Amino acid sequence: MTTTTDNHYIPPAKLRIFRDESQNLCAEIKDRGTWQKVAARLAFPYSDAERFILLSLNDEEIGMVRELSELDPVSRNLLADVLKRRYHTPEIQRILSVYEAQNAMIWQVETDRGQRELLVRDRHNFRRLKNGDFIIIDVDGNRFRVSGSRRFDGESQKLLDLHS
Amino acid sequence: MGRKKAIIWKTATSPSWIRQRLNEFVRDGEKVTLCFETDMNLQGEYAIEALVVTDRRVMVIAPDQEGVVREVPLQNVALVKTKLLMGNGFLVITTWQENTEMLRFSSSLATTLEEFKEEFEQYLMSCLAWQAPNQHEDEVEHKDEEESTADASEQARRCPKCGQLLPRDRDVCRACLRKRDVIFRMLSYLAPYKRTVAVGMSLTCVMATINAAVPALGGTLIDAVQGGAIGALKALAFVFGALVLIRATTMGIHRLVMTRIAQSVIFDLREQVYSHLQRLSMDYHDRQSTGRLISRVVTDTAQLQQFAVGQVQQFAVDLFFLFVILVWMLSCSAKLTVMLWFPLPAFFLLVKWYRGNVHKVLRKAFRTRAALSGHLADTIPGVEVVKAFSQEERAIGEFNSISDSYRNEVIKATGFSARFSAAFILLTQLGTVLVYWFGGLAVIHGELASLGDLVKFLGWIGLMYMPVWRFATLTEQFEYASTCAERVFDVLDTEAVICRNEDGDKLDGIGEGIRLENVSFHYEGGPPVLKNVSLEVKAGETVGIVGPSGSGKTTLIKLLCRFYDPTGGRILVDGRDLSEINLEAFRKQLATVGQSPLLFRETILENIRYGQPEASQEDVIRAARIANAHDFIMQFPEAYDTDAREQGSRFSGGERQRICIARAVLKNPNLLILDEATSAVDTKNEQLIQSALDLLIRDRTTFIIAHRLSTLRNADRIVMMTDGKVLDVAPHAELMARCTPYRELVEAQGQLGGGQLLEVA
Repeated sequence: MTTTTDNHYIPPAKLRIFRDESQNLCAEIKDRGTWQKVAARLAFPYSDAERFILLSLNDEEIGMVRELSELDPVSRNLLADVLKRRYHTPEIQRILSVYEAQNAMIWQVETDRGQRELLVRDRHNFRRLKNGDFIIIDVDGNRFRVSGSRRFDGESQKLLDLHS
Repeated sequence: MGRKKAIIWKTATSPSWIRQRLNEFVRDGEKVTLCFETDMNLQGEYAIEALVVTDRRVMVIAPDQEGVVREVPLQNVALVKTKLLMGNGFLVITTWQENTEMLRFSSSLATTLEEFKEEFEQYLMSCLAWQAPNQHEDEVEHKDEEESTADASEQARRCPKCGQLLPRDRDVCRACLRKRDVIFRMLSYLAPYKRTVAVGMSLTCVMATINAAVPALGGTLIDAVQGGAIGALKALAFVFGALVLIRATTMGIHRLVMTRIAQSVIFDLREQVYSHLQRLSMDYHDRQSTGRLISRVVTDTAQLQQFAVGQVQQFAVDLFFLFVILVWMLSCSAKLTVMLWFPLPAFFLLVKWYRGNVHKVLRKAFRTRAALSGHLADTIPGVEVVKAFSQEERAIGEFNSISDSYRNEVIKATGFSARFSAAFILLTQLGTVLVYWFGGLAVIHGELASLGDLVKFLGWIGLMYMPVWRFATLTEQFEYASTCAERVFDVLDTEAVICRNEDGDKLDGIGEGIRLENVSFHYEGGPPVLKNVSLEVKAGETVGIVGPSGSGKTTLIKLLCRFYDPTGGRILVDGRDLSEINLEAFRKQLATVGQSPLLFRETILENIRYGQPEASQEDVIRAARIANAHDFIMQFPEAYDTDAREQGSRFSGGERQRICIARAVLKNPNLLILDEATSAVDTKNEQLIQSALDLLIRDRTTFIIAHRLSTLRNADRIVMMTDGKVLDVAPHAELMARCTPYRELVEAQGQLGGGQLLEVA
């Protein structure tokens, strides 16, 4: 399949992301219009979080941003913040303890967002990504990333190997 | 005993009884052309009759009957047909007045009879300008009488070498396979690791020797203690300590070495079996169940490895061990050694009895266990049906009944094993009792050097039991391992029917089109499924294929995908015979979307990219948009990174189908096969899928099988099939005007509300 001009992709030079007075996320596309209360979603949240961002309004697609880095700095930072908020995936830096309770495993961890207690049902809630990272999904749907390249302390690594 | 192949004879080579009888009543100038010898008479008795075709008549003669049994003038023949029933069939000739059953035959002759019928029809065409009439209405009349020959074709498979029936699930003949060959082949997997195996065996022999030495040390210790020899005691303690250390170290190294060999062998086996499985043609996969194939790769290979690495080594080491012990025993006391083996003849009889009966006893237990598993396999997945029909008590009753039988068989089998074990221990211990008595006497009378010697002897006896037990049960273990090995080798020895033609022509695209020339096909041992199908499809054309169930639509598609080769005629792609084109290059041009969409346990991204792993994310998104899948994919929190889970269980049928269409779109094929791609979804999903398919088929050579005729709205032409033949090919409007069966099909669907599923019986 060859790459040809695709109308779904918004030319970066024509796109401006901003917040209005009510702090709603807005998108302005030159020669097309302006949209308020825009939602931004990633097509590849784990495998490629800086590319292929879908902008939509009430589930109707406005267009896609191919590369975040191609946007102007203000739009880029704003969109990055929005995506970071949407795809809240704290990175686990240390595993304090893992024990069984409530027919599940309780993980007490330190993340880059602070300490947290996770209730994880079983091994099926661990997703290994192609780049070696893990995503742990707790019973409430919260997601936590374990970086494959991270060197954990001995105790944390032992717990991770045992329970993942 | 192999089956004699039935042949259609041309007079000169027909059996002598036919030639002799023909002399009696073939008239002057009458020319005999075809003969067919059958194995039943019309009354259903197994008897020989022959159908003879001359240039004037069709007649049936029998070796034990005067004159002609039945005859029909050749010029009166309007139709020749076969009626296939359960275990037998009829050849029926229809004249202008009536139907005459001319011949009856058993299922063994079904395939040959069909070939004969074709020859007969060709002869009729050539000499009478006879045209095979439209058989549709008559065939439909008899269709409900006819039995499926699928089971028969499964059972009729025979070894091409010796003619014996092949096992149901295997392609390799057990009669042709020698046990010795199986053993050597199992051991051949150790060949790449012979040095490591030699190290492992040496370590095992060291441990065995140390084990055998322990009783000797014990006996010597007793003598030293009795004699008050402190010096000897010290030396013994030191030696014993050293041996323990050596044994422990050797054991550790041995374990590592053996694990390395075992894992390497099983890796080699599994890699070989799985790779070969992937290369085998579809006919093999169609015959085997998924569970069976998984068992071959996972379980049977493990058993084979365990035997080759574990049991064979154990056998060799046990032999060495017993030899060492025997030598020491003989050096200690030849008389006691002979006494120990006194019960040996009885022991051999016992083992013979065990080996002769163990299979019968265990087989029953295995069969009942299989019945139990089978019942569970039915009723647990089918629990919805059980509950809907309130058959819970019945299911419980059946389960308890089978479970009870299994319990009884296991108790019987255990009883058998218990009797053997008891007798085995009795016989082996009888020797020990004799040694106790005569050994004790020998010590008292001074014939044995010391009490310590007796203790040594008794120690060695204790060590002998396990190896002897293993020898006794070796046959059973070997039988089980060799059964597993046969199943594994069956896979490895099965050759792909479809030749991959790695040196064949490569295909860059389909520029001209596809042509089927007199294509016929029958599955092995079965009746014809496709009969002289000829069809030409230009590049970029969309052709719909419709017809009743069993008309050969799906088989035609399988031939187009080259999962099978035609048994007659050929398929040409851009003028080149498909069977001579490089298979991989051809399949790269092809994409299929079937009724049951299959996703792998990967992300949506990887599933769409399955046939094109190098495709960019942008191309994947584009393909998903065309397939009307992008919007629902983006609704998932993880979008294209969403894990499909096992067989795509995370998604609905319609969603899975659209992901599969995206996969096909991404491949950008030149030849597209759609096999009832919308039949398993609701109307809303059907519309989404249909609009995706409309985009997909644009400018591609496409074959669409559909029961819902609305799916074919964009077809350039429609092929109407029935009973393995092409009835007519034309655009929709023309078919409506001139093809009655097609019109009836369309009208029937229109009456039900257009687009609804209708099976034409």
